[in-house]
Amino acid sequence: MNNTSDKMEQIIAITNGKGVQYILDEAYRILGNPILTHDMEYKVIAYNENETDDPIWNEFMTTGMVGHDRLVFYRDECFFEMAADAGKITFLLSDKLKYDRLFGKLFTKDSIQIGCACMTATEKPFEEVDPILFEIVCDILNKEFCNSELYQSYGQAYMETLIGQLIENNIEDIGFYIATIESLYIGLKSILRVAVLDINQCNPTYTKLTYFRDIFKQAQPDFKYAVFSNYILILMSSDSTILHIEDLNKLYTLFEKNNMYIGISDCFENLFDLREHYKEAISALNHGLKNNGRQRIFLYDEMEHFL
Amino acid sequence: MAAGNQNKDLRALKTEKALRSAMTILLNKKNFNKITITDLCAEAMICRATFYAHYIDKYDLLKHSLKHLDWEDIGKRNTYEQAEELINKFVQKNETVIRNLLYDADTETLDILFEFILSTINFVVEKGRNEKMNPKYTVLSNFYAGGMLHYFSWQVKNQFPPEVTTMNKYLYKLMGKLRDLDKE
Repeated sequence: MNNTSDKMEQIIAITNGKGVQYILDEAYRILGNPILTHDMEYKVIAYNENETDDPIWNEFMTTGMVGHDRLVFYRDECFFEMAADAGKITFLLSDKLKYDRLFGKLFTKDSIQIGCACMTATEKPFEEVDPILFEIVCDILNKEFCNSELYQSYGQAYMETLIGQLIENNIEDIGFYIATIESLYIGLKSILRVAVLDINQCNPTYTKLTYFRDIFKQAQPDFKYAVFSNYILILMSSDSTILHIEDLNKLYTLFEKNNMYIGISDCFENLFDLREHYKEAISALNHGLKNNGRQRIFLYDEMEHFL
Repeated sequence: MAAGNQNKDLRALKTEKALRSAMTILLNKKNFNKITITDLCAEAMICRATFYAHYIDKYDLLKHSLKHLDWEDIGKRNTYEQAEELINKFVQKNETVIRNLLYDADTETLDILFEFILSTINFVVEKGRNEKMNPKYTVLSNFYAGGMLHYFSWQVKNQFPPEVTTMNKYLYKLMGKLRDLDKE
């Protein structure tokens, strides 16, 4: 058996259920270079103990995170852009870095990115097969994160924070956010709409926004859901600019059963326009509730002229 | 250009070039109104968030792409007639692209094309004569640009009818009347 297939077999044999640290330690032993995992705010989750002269690795080790200056460097070098454009794995080869790096994206069950795994070639240069082997390690790590309720909740909370930032227009420099915003697009089709759901009309016993959010997520997993400002926000997507009400069939029964009303924005493609379209959805909902109590779904496209 | 990182390093320039090429490739294959951001990103092998970090939307990308299409050198051209010749040659060289842009074009696309033709005419006249636009040039250039755009548009809508060669001669004569104004 040659060295590569031997390594591959050893990696595939790493079992889930023993924690992220165990996976990292095994992968380090097999691949020969240290790995660390960090969340979307660049805070360390787990790492291999090792001594190195790599400034980025040492910054992680001493502070537990990446500082603002380093993030500015990443932005200026377009590393965020490279990470966003890459598939699962990004090979970061730069003369501005002391060592080459491999990045792998980490996701929850709902395809929400929760962080990255990074292998740094501090102990030996990368071999040709390392990206493939590292991808398998990332798949094993992903399974571990998917089994963790803590990271499922972190993923949802992170996505809601990002949606809140987009709506409140808190993103000043897109350069920092390219990779994170791209993670929001995952699983969505090209045409987007925002819907806001008013649950104040429903049975007060069940007026827990997060409860309904999770129920909707189960009923229609193709959309993204967030709790924002007393509404459940739904990020819908389709291939067409024409809204087909059938897309909402899976949720409509729940709206009726719980006496809920929904306002839906005009369509858009750029998530940076979320704020404007969120306002459209709110206007449609408020106008609809005031003027047309018999319907449950109010479309901004249809009432645009009256607003 | 879209808001955001204005730091134009090599990587950013490469991304913008890849997107402009993607737009040209797709415009050679299908109508502009059928091109989506997803298509452009797939062709340029970038993600949607990266697209929006460089351009506001596909119209913004179109504006920048038009400048990079196959152009003949302006050379010593400095008259309206020569500007017209330059644009005609450009349309001939990029016939499929122009056809796909004008087919079922919306107002925003027509506006971009109008601005593009107008700025080309102005550039030839201003640069060639080394003088700033004056009211006479402004009126003439706008008439020229509007006339040319709508005539190209008409040709596309009518699938380049056989009598187009004769019509081109009439157009040339008509434009000649405008050109006479320039000599006044």
